[in-house]
Parts: sequence; C-alpha cells; structure tokens
Amino acid sequence: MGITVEILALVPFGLSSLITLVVGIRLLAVAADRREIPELAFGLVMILELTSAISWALGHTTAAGQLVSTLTGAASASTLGLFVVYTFVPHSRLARVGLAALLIAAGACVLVPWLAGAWGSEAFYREFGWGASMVRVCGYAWGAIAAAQSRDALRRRAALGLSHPLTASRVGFWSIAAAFACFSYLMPVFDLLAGITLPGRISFISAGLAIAASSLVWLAFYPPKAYVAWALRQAGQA
Amino acid sequence: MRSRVFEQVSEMLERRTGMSRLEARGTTRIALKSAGLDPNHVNRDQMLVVIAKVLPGELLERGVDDAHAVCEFVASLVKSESPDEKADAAGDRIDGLFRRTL
Repeated sequence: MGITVEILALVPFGLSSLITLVVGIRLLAVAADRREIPELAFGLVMILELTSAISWALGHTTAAGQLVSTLTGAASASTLGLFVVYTFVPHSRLARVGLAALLIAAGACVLVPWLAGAWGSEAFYREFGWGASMVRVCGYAWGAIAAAQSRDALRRRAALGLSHPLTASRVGFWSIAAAFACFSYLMPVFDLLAGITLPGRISFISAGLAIAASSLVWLAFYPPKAYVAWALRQAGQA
Repeated sequence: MRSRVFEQVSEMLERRTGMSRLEARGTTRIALKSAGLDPNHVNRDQMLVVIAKVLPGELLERGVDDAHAVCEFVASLVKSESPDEKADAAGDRIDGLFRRTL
C-alpha cells in the first residue's frame, strides 16, 4: 500500500515538474527577448524549484544531493523574494526589510549545515533540511498575500480601462498557486517538527498541491486561448 | 512623497471648490483609491481618467454643485501643465508583466 502511494505520488510530481519546466523556459525566453526583470526572476524561480526537487528526489541521502537541493532551494526562495518585492511592493521600505530577512535566512540554510559538517548525514532533513523548505514557505506566503492585495486594486483599475481586463484574475490565479506551493512545503515540515500527522501520505498530498500550484501558474502566465476569449467576452471586450 | 499631478489636482480642487487643503487632498486620494491607483505613483494619463470618470461623483457627494465643470477645468489644466511621466506603481509593473505573457 505504502509503495503504491509512493509510486502514485510520482505521477503528479512528474506532471508538476513538466509544467514548471515549460513555464520556466517560456518566461526566461520572454526575459531574454525583452530584458524584463519580473520574467527573469520568476522564470529562474521555476527552474531552481525544479532543480531542487529533482536533486532531492534523486539524491537526498547523498552529500551532493543535499547540497544541490538546499542551495537551489535557498536560491529559489531568495529570487522569489526579489520577484515579490520588485513586482508587487516596489516602493515599500518594510518590504525591503522583509526581503533582507529572507535573504539572510536563505543564506543561513546553506551556511549552518556547512559549518556543522552535516552534508551527507542521514538525519540531514530532520536537523537542517527543513530550513530551505521554511524560507520557501515564507516566500510563497508573502507572495500569495501581496498578490491577493494587488488583485483588488487591479480589478478597480480594469473597470476604468486602466489595466488589462484579465490581469486581476490572472494575479488571483498566481496568488492561489503561491498559497498551494506554500502548503506543499509546509506540510512535511509540520509533520517533522510538530508531529502533526495529516490524513494520507504527506508526499502524496504535497505532490497534489504541487501540481495544482504549477497548473495555476501556467493558467496565470499562459492562459488557454479559449479561456482568454471567454473572459474577454465576460468583460465586454471581445 | 505624492506625485506631482496629485499635488496639482488637489491644489486646483482647493482653489475651485472652497474645500480645505485636507478635504481636497482627501477627495483626490479617495478618487484614486476607487480607481486602484496610488497617489505616490499616479501619472498624468491615469489622473485624467480618474478626473473624467471618478472625481465628479466624489465631488457631488461632497456637495460641489458644479462638479462636472470643475472637473473639466481641472482636466484642461492637467493636460496643459502636467508633463506625461512614466507611471511606476506596483499595479503598472504587474499589468506590464501579465500583458507581456498573454
């Protein structure tokens, strides 16, 4: 039964990875073409997330796997923080303080295990590995809240023709995706640190959340033409 | 720091409607908020939309009888006197990002 669930969990994990890879590459292509920072930052987040997940899946018992997974996880959280600040709260001093704290925490996720000589240890995740998950939990939670707040203002702008009619709903998709990603990292940490055992296998639920998050990111950045046409008709602009 | 066009519109409202400085600035701020805009980073073109579509209602609510005439006057001054600055509010960055990837 346990093995079946583990194998089943690989299906959403694989799908999620594929969607993440495609969206990440497309965003990086737009960034290369137009020299825009938000596309570059979030495209990098997607690729770093994928690298971190694959290196953890393939080598979480080896020093190299732990190092690559932690390093890319910390880099992903840092880049996500930069994306959130640059895009959603560019003029907030408090946000810059929050970003500095996130960068310091991400640096500590790599530095502390290195100082403790913990790479390759069997107890790595229990003792240190959860740190890289927690900085991502913070980054995605922050992103979800910032995007949800922006969505309301964008909706009001759209009503006056001051923003694209679909931007508010696409930001809403991104916000929900960030919340799902946050929970997908939070659940294993809860299981480990607080001893809260949730129904079913954590890996399976996390994988389900990951595929929901990556699908919503795809819908946010590259919505299908049928959806765009339908939404524009609803907004009276088709 | 508020944007130049915000200061200009608030000042003109104060002069034309007899509102106090605080009332005029508050009214402009509320009009911008209803449009999802930030008083610190609103540009001329965005302000002109607010003056045309939101501000008359806000002025009527505050007992300004010739609200439409006041708004037309304010809009004409904004058009002639305010430079067209590039908006750099979060909303513009977000809208730009999602437009580019559509």
